[in-house]
Formats: sequence, C-alpha cells, structure tokens
Amino acid sequence: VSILGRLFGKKPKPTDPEQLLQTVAAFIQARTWTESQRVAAGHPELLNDEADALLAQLAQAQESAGARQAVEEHRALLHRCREVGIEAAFAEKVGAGGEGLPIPPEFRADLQQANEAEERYLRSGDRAALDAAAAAAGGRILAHPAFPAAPERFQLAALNNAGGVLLRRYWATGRLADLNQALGCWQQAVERTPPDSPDLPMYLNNLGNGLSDRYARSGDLADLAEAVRVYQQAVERTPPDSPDLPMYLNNLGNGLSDRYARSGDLADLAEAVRDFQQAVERTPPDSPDLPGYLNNLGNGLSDRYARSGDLADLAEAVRDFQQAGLAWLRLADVQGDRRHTLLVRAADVFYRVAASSDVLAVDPLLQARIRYGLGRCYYQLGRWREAIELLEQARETFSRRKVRPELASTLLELGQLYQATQDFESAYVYLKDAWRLFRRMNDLNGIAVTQEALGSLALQTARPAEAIAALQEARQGYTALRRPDRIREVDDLLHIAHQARRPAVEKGATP
Amino acid sequence: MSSQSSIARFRDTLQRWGLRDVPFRATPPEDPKELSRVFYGRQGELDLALPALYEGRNVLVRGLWGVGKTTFISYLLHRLQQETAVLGEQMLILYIGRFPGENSEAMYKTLLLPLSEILADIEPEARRVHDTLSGLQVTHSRQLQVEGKVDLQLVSLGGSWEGGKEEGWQIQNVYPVLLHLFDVAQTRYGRVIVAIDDLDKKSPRAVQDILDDAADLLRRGQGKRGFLLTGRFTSTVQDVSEQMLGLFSETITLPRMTPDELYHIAVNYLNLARQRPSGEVFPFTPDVISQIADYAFCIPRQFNLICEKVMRRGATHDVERIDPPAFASLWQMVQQEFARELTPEVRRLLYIARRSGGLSANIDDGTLDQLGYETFVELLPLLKSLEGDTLIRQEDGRLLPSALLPDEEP
Repeated sequence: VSILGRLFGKKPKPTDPEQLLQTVAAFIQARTWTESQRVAAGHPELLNDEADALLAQLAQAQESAGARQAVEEHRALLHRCREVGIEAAFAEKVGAGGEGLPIPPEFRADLQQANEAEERYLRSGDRAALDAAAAAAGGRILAHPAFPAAPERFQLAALNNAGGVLLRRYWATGRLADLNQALGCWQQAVERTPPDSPDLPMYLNNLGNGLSDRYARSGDLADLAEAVRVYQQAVERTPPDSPDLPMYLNNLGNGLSDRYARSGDLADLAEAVRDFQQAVERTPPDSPDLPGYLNNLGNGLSDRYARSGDLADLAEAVRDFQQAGLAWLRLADVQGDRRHTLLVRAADVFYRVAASSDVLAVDPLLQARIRYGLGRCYYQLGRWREAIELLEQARETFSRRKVRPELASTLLELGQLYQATQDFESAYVYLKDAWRLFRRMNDLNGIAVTQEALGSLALQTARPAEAIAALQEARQGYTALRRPDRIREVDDLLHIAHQARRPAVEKGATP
Repeated sequence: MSSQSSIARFRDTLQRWGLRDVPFRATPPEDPKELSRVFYGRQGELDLALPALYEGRNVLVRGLWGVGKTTFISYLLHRLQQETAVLGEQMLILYIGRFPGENSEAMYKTLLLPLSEILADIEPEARRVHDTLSGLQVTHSRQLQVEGKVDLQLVSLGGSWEGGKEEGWQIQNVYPVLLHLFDVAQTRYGRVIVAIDDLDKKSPRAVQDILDDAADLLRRGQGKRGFLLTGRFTSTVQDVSEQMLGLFSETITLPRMTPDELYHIAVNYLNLARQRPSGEVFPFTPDVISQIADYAFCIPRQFNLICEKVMRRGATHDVERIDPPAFASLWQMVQQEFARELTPEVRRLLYIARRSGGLSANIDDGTLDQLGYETFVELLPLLKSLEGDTLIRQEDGRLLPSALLPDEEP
C-alpha cells in the first residue's frame, strides 16, 4: 500500500494499532520462513516505521533473552526487506539453507517451488505436494545440467535440502528408497564439506537422524553406531554458544539411549543423561524445544533408576517430567493449531509421573504439583470431573503448605471449572479466594484474569452490574499489562453486560 | 436439690401454666394433623403451589436455613392430599426426605422403593424391584397416610446403597425401570406428585449433578407427574442454574415470617399442649414473644428453639410468668449454656464472625488472618458442619452467629 501510495501521490492510510499488532504477531509466530514471507507479502504495512517501532517495543518487553533475540531477528529481516525487497531478503534468509547464500538464477524457480510445495504439504497433508517438493528438490535441482558447475556451498545446501524433503516423504510413505536416497545426499554433503565449515555440524546431525531412522526400521546396530558417531562429531564441531547445540546434544542423547536399550551398556546411558542435561541447561526457558529435552532427560534418568535403584535419579526424573508437562501446557496456550497434541503430550507425561509413587510419597508438594499439572490438562481436554478431583487434592496440599502462588492459580482453575460445571456458588467462592491471594501477592496478571472470570460468572448468573464492575477492573489490569488480545475479549463481555443491564437502567437503576 | 424434686417442680410449673408439656420443637411435627394445627400463614405461596402441583407441574421452594421449607412442603402435600380427596380424584404423593448417595441413581433408587412397594401387587416388575431393594442395607422409615383415594407415602432413608452390590442385588437400568413404574403408577392413580426435600443438604456439586441428570425425568410426565423440590438461597449466586430453573413452573421463595405470624405460631404450638385452646401466648407475655421473634431474626426454626429453651428453663426455675424481667434472666441462662457447649474453635469463629459483620466469600484479609486461614475455601468444611445449626444464621449471603451467642466474649 505504501509503495502504491507513493506512486499515486496518496498518503498511506493510518494503521489500526491493534490490527498491526496482530499482523506482527502472525509474522513472528509463523512456523516457517516461507509462511513469514507470505505474511510480509500480504501486509506491506509491516515495512512501515510504525511496525518497526512496535517490534522494537515488543523486543524490549520480552523477559527472556531467547524471545528477545527472536523478535530482533524478525525486525532485522523486515529492515532487509525494506532495503532489497521481500523476495530477495527472504531468499537471503532461507536460501538453500544458509544466510547470505547466493542462489544461482537457474535454480530459483525450482527452489521456490520446492519450498512452497513442502509448505503446502505441511499445511494440508497433501501427498501430491510432497511429491512435487521431492521432484523439485531431490530431482530437478540435483539433476540440472548446471548443478555441477554451481558454487560448492550452494550444491551442499541443495543436497541437504533434498535429504530433508526425501526424509519427510519416507516418514509419509515408509518407502525405504527415499530414506536411502536422503542418506546418500547427506553423506555426500558431509564428505564434501570442509572440516571448518559452519554448515558441517548441521549436515552431520541430519545424517545422524537419517541413520537413526534406518536403524529404527531395520534394527541394524551398525546404522545406530554410525548415527552416534556422526552426532558426536556434530556436537564436537559446534561452538558452545550456538543455538543449535542443544538440539545436537539431544539427538546424541537419543542415539546413546537407543544403543543402551539394545546393549545394556551403562556407559552409554550415563553419557546420554549427561548430553540431555547439557541440552536442557543450554536451552532458553521459553523455547518450544525445551519440554521435549526435559522429557528425554526424565526418560534417561528413569532408565538409570530402573538399573541402579537410586531414588535421587527418580526424583530428578519426576521433576524433569513435571517441568516438561508444564512447558507443553504453556505452549498449548499459545500454539492454537497444535493445542490438542500438546495437551495430550503434557497429560501423558503428568500421568506417567503420577504413577511414580515412591518419590511422590515422600514429597507431597511435588505430588501436588503433578496433580495440578494433570488437572489443568484434563480441564483443557474437557475431562472436568477428573480435573476437579486432581485440582482439589493439589489445593489442599498447597493450602496446608501455604504455597501462595500455586494455591492462587489452583483456586482460579477450580473456580473456572466450577463455573463450567454450573456450580456457580463454588465458582464464586473459589474465584474470590484466588483474587484475594493474587492481590496479596500484587500479581497484576492474576488479578486481571480472576476479575475477568468473576465478570464472566456474574454475567452468566444474571448479575450484569457486578459483571460490569469486575470486567472494568480486568480491563484496567490488561491495559496496564499491554494485553490487547485480552482487552478485546473483555470488551466483548462488557458489551453483553451493558446490553443485559439496559432493561434495569431503563427502570431507573444506576447505569 | 435432688433430680426428683426438679422434675416435680418442672411438672408443677407446666401444670400451673395449663400445659401438658413444652410443645415447641425446632423441627415440624411429623403427624399431619398436628402440623395442620401449628401451621400459620404462607397463604399466597400455597395458592401458587397447590394448583401447579395439581396440574402435574414442577415447583421449586427456596429459602434460608430454618425458614420453614420442610414445614411448608409437608403442609402443602397434606393440603394437596385433602383437597384432591374432596374432589373425589385419585393421586399418589411421594415424599422423599434424606437419602444416601450423591448422584441421580441414588435418587432414582430411593424413588423406586415406595413406588415398587405400592405397585408390587399389580405389576410383576414392581414386585421384582421391591424384592431386590428390600434386601439392601438401607434403613427405611416410612409413613403411609391415605385420605380418600389419595396415598401419601413419606420415605426417609439412612445407610448406604453399597451393601447390595456385594450380594449381587442390583437393578439394571434403574432409570428405565423407574420410568416404567411411574407410567404404571400414573395409570393406576391418574396423577403422581413427588416431593424431594433435603436435596439441598447435599453438596452444591452433587445437587447440580443430580438435577442435570434428572432434567429428563422432570420434563416428562405430560401434566400427570409433578415434582416439588426444596433449594437453598444465597444472595451471591443461585444454587440452581437459570437453565435448571426453566424446569419449574413455579419458583417460590419463602420469606422470613413477620413477628405477628410468629405470634400466631406460638399460640398454635401452645394450644397443642393445652387442655383448652386459647388465643393467648401465656406463660409468655406478648412483648417477650416479640423480643424472641427479634432475637430469632424472624426465622421460625430459631424462634421455636428459643421459645422451647426459655420455656424449659422457666419451668425448671418455677417462674410464674415469662415477662420481660423473667425472660432477661432466663435468656442469660440459655446463652451461657449455649456458649458452654461450643468447642473453642467454633466459639472463636462465631465471635470473629460477629465482630466482622459476618462471614462470606467476600471476607477480608484481616478476618482470614484472625481465623488463621489462608482462604475462605478452607473454612467451608467447618461452616458446612454448622450449616442449618442453631449456631449460625444467614443474612444477605453472610453467615452470622445466632442471638444465642452471649454478647460478652469469655
């Protein structure tokens, strides 16, 4: 719009700040760079100064370094889009696998087609799209007459890309030829990449993944041993501050765990646990990868406990599983399209931990936390009665131990559950208690969320005046917290409450 | 002073007052004839409920603890029975008091008990159910009253339904069996009215679950089957959802009684124990009765209880007449005895409740701190144990100690 506006001498329309925030969120939260590119192409307002300022504010508002870095990365990409155009900027960003990688013009169309087809497959599950991606990435590009003469770094990246698409098709079809071809691509990439290249660890890691998959299919220990060897190389060649290192460590841990499962060699298991621990330590707390790493660490420690009987291992495993469950729950809140999968995963991990009675029996607080986590999962999965039972048990322990933050959260969850099950009297009592505790702790978010719940309850029980009062307080809280998504929800409820209040006001009640 | 002389003095005083015994009771008389003699007022509510039930519609009766819900529905059913009998029509009325269990199946089984008993001779399915249920370990207190062609079955159950499971005494598909027996009863009697009292004494969640499950039962009946339920009432939120309220043709909220109505109730109770009825409240004076109504916050159960306790102390202490000076000293005695019976925890709770103007979900941090609790939810089990007791009363959704609590803290 801004370019057309300049061409036709018109001023661009001012952007609605809330709308812009939504667009920025869609741009950042896109699952792939291709999706981000589509958002950017459909919303040229992202290239305005307003969007830049908003991204700067967003970056500042992030508590964790990882999240701040992610927002800044997107902001820098938009800067680059303003300099060289969206297509070129994204081509630089994703290219055939590395930033600033030159793409020879004769491959651009196939590359774009491969990326788009793969994206289409991920969105829709359309197998034809996956075939199209494989035909472009694994066929036409690699067989192109100009390929052998293309820059070496491009060739290696193209081989890596082809391996990825073929592996994906193997997962979809189970066709071993695809897996073998993918392995061939990665082996070539690994052999031809200079030892000091920053791309080598990635190729090694991908080769390891392919070998692990073939081991899972054939049970051939040689594949697994080779996978462990290349994973180890990937880890050794990755700088300690690389954001990819936790993933390589995790994969190495998985390889070693698999080998331990076959050989029973405790050295493998000990090394796997060390790798998982390092992966966890090096992963930012808000990373979507963290729960998986924690879960793997928990599994490794559980296996070690099964061999040694050392309760310390089991206790640590339980804590890791609990953290994994909570992290999946948090992710489920923000990843709407994967919500159910993440909730089931979280519920599964909490459920397994709940069975570890040896540890939980001596640590009631940990037991309450597990029950709280499982209760929250069941609540969101619609298993309300089980959720109430678990959360009530957790509440009693939190209350006895005077763990105020968790008690407040549990009361809030229970209040909302009682409202959902139409036990309005209990809902009111629990929400009021939650509100009191959040207020005592000066937890602004907790106060706002609880006021919103009280407002919704008042609305449902035909008390619009109380609903308006509570919702207005919630709105103030959300405004202070800069949560436009919640403000919109509250405004919707306020609108309904004012409409419900109208007949009483018309009869002379105070508006 | 020996106990024998105490009894003699007690009896002499009662005789001097013209009474056989102390007639006041906190709970209503079970005998319908006695109930008819003491019942007073609520005419508007009866006029709403009687036609609705006669037409087979559902009625919900709500009100504070002790306001007289059970008395009202007992009297209502008695009137329904009498008025229907006068019309020469048939009707079956089932009154279910307390029953074991916290779910709809427990309620259905309780309904099956009197239904199967009544229909055992005419319906083989009823005979089978009756034989099965009579083997369960459930204590069953039942009164049957027949007025003309109208049966009034009063049932109250104790114990547990669980006993039968181990013995293999189970009824499959309780709900369809119940519907079938209701159909048979409707064919036999024309109309069936089911009153379920004390449902509100179960947890709010259990009540909600039972009503959710029983919604279908409450909707069916084609004007030949009506339900009469009692419910609590709080100012904060309703214990029955709006959706559930849609199941009832009439929702009747019983208000507290006026001092004048309580005066008449006192006269009626005293007449139960008198040789010759009178319109007086002797041995009380009218101003004392008015004072008691005030202390009882115009809640009938509290009023009857205070009258009973004061009268008993007056008879024991050979009081000629319970006039204001005598009442002042008797009231002090009653309060002191009441305070002595309290556990330290409850006593503390009651005084803090009084000082803070009542306990509710809107309790402030200071009051919670004084009570030593982090949340109001933690207090609920203790409050629940006092629910319906004379220790505590409800006012505008808050829980306050009754007037029986002495003014001065020990």
